[in-house]
Amino acid sequence: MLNCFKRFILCSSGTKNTLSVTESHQKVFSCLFFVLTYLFLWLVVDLRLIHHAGLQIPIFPAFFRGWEFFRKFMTYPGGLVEYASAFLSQLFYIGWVGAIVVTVQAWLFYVCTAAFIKLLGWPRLGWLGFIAPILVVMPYAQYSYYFTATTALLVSLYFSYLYVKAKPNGQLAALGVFLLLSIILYTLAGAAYIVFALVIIIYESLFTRRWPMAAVYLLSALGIIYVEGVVIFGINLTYALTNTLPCSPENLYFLQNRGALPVYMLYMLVPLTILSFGLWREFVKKHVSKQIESCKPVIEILSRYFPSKFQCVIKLVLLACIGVALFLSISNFSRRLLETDYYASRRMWSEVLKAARRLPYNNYTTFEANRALYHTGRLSNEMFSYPQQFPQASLLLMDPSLSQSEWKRIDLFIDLGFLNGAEQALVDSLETLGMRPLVLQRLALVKMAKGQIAGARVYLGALGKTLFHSRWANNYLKLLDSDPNLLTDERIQHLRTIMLDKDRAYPFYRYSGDNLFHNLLAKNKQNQMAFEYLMAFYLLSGQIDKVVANIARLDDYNYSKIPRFYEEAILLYSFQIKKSVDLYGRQISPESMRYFQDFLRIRRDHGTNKRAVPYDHKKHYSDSYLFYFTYGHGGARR
Amino acid sequence: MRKQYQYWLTALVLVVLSVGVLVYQLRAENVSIDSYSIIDRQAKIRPDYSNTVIPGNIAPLNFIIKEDGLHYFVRIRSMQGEPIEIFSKTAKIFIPEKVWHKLLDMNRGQELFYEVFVKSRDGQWERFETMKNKIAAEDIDGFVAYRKIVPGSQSYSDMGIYQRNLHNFDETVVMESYLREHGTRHGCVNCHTFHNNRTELMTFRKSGNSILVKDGQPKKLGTKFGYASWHPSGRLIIYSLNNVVQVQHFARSEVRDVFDMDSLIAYYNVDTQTIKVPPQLAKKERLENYPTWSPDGRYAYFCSGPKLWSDLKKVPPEHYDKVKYDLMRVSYDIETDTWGQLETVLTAQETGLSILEPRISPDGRWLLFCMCNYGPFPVYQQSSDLYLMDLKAAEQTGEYEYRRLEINSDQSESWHSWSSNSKWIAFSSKRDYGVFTRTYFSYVDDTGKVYKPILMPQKDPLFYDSYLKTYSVPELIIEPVRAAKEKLGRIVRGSDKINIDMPITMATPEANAVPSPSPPWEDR
Repeated sequence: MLNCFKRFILCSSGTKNTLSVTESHQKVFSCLFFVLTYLFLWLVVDLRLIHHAGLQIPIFPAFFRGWEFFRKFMTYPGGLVEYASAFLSQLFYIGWVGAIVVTVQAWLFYVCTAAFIKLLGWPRLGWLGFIAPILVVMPYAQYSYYFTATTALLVSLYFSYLYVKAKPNGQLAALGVFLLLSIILYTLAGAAYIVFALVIIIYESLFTRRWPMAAVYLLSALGIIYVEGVVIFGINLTYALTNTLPCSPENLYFLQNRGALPVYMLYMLVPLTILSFGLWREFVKKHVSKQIESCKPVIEILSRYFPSKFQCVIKLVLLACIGVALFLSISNFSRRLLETDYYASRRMWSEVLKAARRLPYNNYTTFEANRALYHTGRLSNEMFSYPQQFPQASLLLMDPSLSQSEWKRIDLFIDLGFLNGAEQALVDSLETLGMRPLVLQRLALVKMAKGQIAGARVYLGALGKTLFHSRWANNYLKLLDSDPNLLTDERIQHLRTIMLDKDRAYPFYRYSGDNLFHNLLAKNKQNQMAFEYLMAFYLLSGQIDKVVANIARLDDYNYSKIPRFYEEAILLYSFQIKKSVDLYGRQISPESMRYFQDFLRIRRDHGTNKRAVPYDHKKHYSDSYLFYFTYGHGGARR
Repeated sequence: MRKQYQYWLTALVLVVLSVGVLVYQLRAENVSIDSYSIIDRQAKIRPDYSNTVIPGNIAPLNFIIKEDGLHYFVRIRSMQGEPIEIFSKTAKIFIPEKVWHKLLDMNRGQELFYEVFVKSRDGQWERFETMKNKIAAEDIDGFVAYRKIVPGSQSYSDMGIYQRNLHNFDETVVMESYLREHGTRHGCVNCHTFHNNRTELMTFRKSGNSILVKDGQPKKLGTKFGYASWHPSGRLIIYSLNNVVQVQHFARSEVRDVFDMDSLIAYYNVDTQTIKVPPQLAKKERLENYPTWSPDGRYAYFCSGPKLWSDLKKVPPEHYDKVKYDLMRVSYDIETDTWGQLETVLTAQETGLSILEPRISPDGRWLLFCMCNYGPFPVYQQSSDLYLMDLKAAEQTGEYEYRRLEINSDQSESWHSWSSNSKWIAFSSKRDYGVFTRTYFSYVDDTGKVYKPILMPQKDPLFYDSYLKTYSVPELIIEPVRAAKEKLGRIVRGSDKINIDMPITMATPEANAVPSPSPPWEDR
């Protein structure tokens, strides 16, 4: 039976009749496969999140139109592929377009791998080519980014295919073709060229049996990398040997091998396939050929029915398994973290709150949830339905444990009117994350609001060279020509009304929130965000006396009644000092009074053990300030 | 026909078509402007290279004509040689390098005229008033080394020292902090200092160490050089040692501020590999900074400000914005290694401003410095302007008179250096691009008149409009840095270094006395 199976495998080169049936199935299957891949990338992974990326993918490339940007990619091998990858990666900005880009790349991998297999005489095993697209897609499910590495590999495989297809006969001609392709390929794709060299060396060793040629190719490949990389381009040997690979120093430093395993497997796929085929052909075929004859009837049955009927079913089952595996491989935590960041940066507040609800507690999501609550007018009534901690962390992400939070603070600072804080966070992000359009856009905005038009023009000039933000930048550049002080721009004018104008110097990111919010209110007492953040700061730090002291400020805004958490703080304070407080004509609502009385009753009933959280408190008061104040932490899900 | 041949044929047709279009676009057009109307003003151009003195060895001063039109024509002529005629369908004027240099070479000391014609929307040519430049008889040094960094950088992850050939547009890396090749960010590179405008001796700082390059051979020194200056003999380097604090302003236009909690001046003997700290230059109650040698090597000029705080842990310290630096000098005898008494050259009390970054022209005549409202870091002070002092006149009269240069703008000017022939200065200014400092050159004549500065030219005249890094500390040099960046990189990364003991004095800044996110020289 084993021998029969071997024969079946050996017969995979097939005849024309059996192939035509297989090919039609193959086409239907591959269409279905790539449509599903596309939908998976578009609707499940959502490549917009990878484009947004933030701190999770600091290596995500920027792209600017123009010669200056292009020029630097010509200074090292692999630069051209990197440039093309940087361009194509920008298309991730539009989810469905980005999904097309990755699907096409996955499809090209399939085509290339299948073509290779066919070229080597194993067309029936063309389905192995489907392994490649799966490996291409997998890192995206992990919200990692290896697009440059996979693009470089694709180019390398294409060159390998060209060589094998060309089948240069004479040794000299073969060497000439190899060297020519090597030089071009190394320039284009950098170290991914190694895969080409490996494939050709295996091919020459096992398929054409030109062992001496293989040895010459090995030496030539090393020579080309050294001469082109080290001598001509002037990069060091390690970099010359790794620069576009998933194990390049940059990838290792920034991505720390996150989601890299499929990419390594992808790199090994074709060389290992060719090696396996070659070894099979070289050693197994010789020894089993005689035994094969005795299994003829079984082989005929297998090759007649298996491809046409069962293979179809097997493929569908395989497809379903792949789909399930990919779904399961999705990193939900990364996805939701990115979603929160993505929606927050686009001010899609209800989506921020939904995403924050689905995440386990962390300061970043609480921070974004608080922003979203403010912008939806719910901060003072609902903030304790999200887990809250120290005010500096929950409101400003300022805590020694929260490293590299600058990126997240940017929009908060802009909304508050703390433009210098935003500017510093922006330049820090520019260095950490590279020239991201979102960062440039906000830098331009801050500079314009501060009236530093010359600097703003430079940021706008750079932004004008990006693919998707150029219109915004060019509109502002035009506006600056007609209205240099931007007096007609509402957003800028609003920012100018709230931006701080009283200067003080502080160590970087070491100012306290209440001080900042007070300064902002001193500039513009109608800065409602500063007010609500100030009150939230006092609530979180348990300074209920200060909440009460600032109640009079409610008159500066359009509150129809005292917000719920302020009422609870007032009641707590009143209870503490055992007398009523002046509410400047406002009233505590009867519901809040009842709520507070019930809270006290449960506490009284529970006795003196203040550490234990009574069940009733947790059940009915977990989203209240009363709970937070009493037990030192929020009762919301942690 | 086989499929693959069809592909090749299609590709060939595409290539031929592309080349055809390219050739068509690039073909020389003979333009004859028979009639034109005259506009009685000069055309607006950017960068503004008009009406000043330019070096005879500078790269083409490409510019963009800021006048609306369909076509543009510029004729550049001088007393001798063929005029350069440029016809352009866009407002960008690219001057051919070869003919530009030929014209400038033939006409040193002469005037250079730019006739600008613009074809208006109605099809009529308009001729603007002729612009004039003077080609200086004296060349500027052939290279300038500068640092490029993202403004406001704190992590120093993408920055480096670069050198630019001023004869053309070539820029090469001397040392970069972000080494793609190693996937690491190696921290700050800064404080490049050359000996007599040459590169056989240079130093720069890389993170916690200094790199000394002698005849192209770099060595790592286990000490930090702050602001440094080579003695003209090349035998020693005088430098500042600063304990720096950076702070963030809530509302000032420049977000960051930098000051020294403490500082002193030391010197390093290259031959004996030792460091000494002259007591005169390391007073406990003073903040000494920015040392520079006089060209004869007999005096070290430096800045010195009062230390107005005793609490070294409070950030920012009390009255940090009241510190103003005086300009001092001290004599030195290199043969006996002895220092003289301190002399006050100019006090902050007299000027009302903080005096910083003194640099003396190689002929010893001019002292160029900047002054700003307070503190030691002019690039973050919008008030910083350049001032010039005639040392030769001061020698005769005994009075150090100075004047504010006319070339100053309402933005910060700083980081100036002299050319080897004392006729050109390079400096950093925020005049045109706000927070993005750019490098400017100005001619200085025998009377000390400093002419309208020219922006360091780039091939694309709009280059700076979208370039997101600042250029700072432009140092003019007559030759390129000899050490290859790979070699410098190896030394920087390597563990081999010359360990140098810093003598502990009463005035030595306390290590880690205050939070010090980064040293001062990393903030330009």
